[in-house]
Amino acid sequence: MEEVVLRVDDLTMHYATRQGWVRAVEGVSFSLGRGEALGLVGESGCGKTSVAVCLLRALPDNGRILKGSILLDGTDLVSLTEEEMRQHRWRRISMVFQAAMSSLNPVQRVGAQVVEVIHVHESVGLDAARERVVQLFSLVGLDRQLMERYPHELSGGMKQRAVIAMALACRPDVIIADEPTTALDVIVQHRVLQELKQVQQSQGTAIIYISHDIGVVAEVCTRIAVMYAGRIAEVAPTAELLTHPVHPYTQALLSSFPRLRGPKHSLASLPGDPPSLVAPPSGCRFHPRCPYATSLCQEKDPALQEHRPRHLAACWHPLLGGDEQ
Amino acid sequence: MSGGGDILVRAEGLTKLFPISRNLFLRPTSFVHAVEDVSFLIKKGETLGLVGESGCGKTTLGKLLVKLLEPDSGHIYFPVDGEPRDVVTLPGRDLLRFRRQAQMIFQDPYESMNPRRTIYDTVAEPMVVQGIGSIREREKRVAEMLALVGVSPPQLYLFRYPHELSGGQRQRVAVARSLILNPSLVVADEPTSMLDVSVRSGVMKLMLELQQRFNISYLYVTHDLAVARYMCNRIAVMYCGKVVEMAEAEELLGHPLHPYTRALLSAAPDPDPGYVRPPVEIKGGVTTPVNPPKRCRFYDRCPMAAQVCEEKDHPPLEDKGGAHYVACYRV
Repeated sequence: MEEVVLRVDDLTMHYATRQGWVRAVEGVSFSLGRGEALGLVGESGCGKTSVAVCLLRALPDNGRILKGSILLDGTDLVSLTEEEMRQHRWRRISMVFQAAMSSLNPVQRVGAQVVEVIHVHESVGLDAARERVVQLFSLVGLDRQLMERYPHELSGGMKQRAVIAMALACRPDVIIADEPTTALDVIVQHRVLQELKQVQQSQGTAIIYISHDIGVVAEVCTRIAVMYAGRIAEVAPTAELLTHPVHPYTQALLSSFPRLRGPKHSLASLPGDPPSLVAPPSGCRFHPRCPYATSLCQEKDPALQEHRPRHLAACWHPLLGGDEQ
Repeated sequence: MSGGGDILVRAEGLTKLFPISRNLFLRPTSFVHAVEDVSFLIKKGETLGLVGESGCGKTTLGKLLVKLLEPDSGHIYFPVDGEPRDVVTLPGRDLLRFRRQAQMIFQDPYESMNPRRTIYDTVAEPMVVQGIGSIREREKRVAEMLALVGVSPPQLYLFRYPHELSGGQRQRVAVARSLILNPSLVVADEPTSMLDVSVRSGVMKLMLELQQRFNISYLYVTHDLAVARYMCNRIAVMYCGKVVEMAEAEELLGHPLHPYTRALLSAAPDPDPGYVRPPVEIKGGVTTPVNPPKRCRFYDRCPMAAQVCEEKDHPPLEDKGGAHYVACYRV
């Protein structure tokens, strides 16, 4: 396998709330190759954004990383002090947020905001920083004149591109993109995805692409990890995951997705709702909604295991028949 | 239009302009042309899908159809007490009868319910407004409806508040509220776009099931073509306040004729590893139709725009064979 830039091992993060501890991330492990695009898919409240928050160490006051390690090129981000972490953010690992509108300062020109990121994090003069922003803007397909505009003068797609340019500003090894296109219309979304893919390929930046939409993730990523209730249920190369899902949750997710092409299949739907993470079900967290659940699933939590080459799933009854799709 | 089936509602030349600036004498000077000269019909038990990007006027059109907004011009013919009447000019008392027949489901299950009223109050409200039934009858009917939409056992939920329900359950409650008066037309404005995938398909299936059972017609507003394919018999594509293409769902998705529909289709994400995407041929971004010039609305972004598209007004919606309607000079 290619060189690993980021390795997450047994990451566990809980939030303290009045209802009790919310077990948002529980024993999550994965690795990211240099320049790889990994998708992190799951429904709302499954902990995918919490994973991102851990990677950037941008935890809210009530969040705690209880165990696990996040190795970025050999440095464990979990054990760094806040000051040391600040050296890594933007320069080694950066983030594109869902709401581009609210991650830009409304009273500062767009170009100046990106210049500031470079100027603050690297010992680069203002002129050199400006020069780099001009390049970044053309990289993400923005006209350089837009640098002088304020955020409200830009459309949603343009703002999202400016935010991507900002995330790329200090040439990080890893970009975490959390639902970067969810608020955009399909045609604009398509363009931003193409831009992101092109940047990833030309700059060799690794991307963790977080989304609830498996179709969007499949577009950009070569490997996909599916999360359910704070755990990783399945990880596999994109085509493999889409055609031969091994975990019953992934299979249900795929068959409840209406398709635009091909024969019209009947949609599957899962009974019930995603579980509360304050008191998650015992054993496998998916067992109350799983059609294949047995008493073993109620009692013991399955570990992530390799069932096919490079295809891992956490399930006691993996669908390995070969004809399930 | 296409043959077979009784027509339930016929909309003709619907137009809605929103003033956005006024002159010294408060006379409006510029307008957003949210919906302009849109005509269509919906048959009994049929679903017409309304697809387009945000700001294209699809929600406005939905609201016009159930008269939550007054059109500036145009007519909506809908049977009130058995005879087709123009809803636009309907007097107050008959309007109440119309509302019994035409209901709406909103996009956001968190915003569309009063957080301080119980599920019973929420679902029974249409009966209260219409003055139907005694309290005991209403309670029975609400329990029936909740069981029907799969919020069961109803006794457990009747006196709960919206915040105690999940998003999927709330949207089911919204469906129950819209169907409690046995309407013949329901306008559903992105009813599943806020729900998670595994829950979403359950609500979609429920809506199809209830349609079959009660012979309801839907106007289904969505931005997602795959959802439209699953839910709708026919699909209308809107762009900048105009319907640019309308046809049977499979026909429209299989043989899109308008360049905008083609761009929408090829840009839609698809989790199929074998699919090779055609290039998305479209320029620029969505424009808001503020005092639009007299030419094709799609002119600025169209890959096949020609002189005729600029010189003439927006093209009319014409049948290109087999009830496949397209508004384009170049098709």
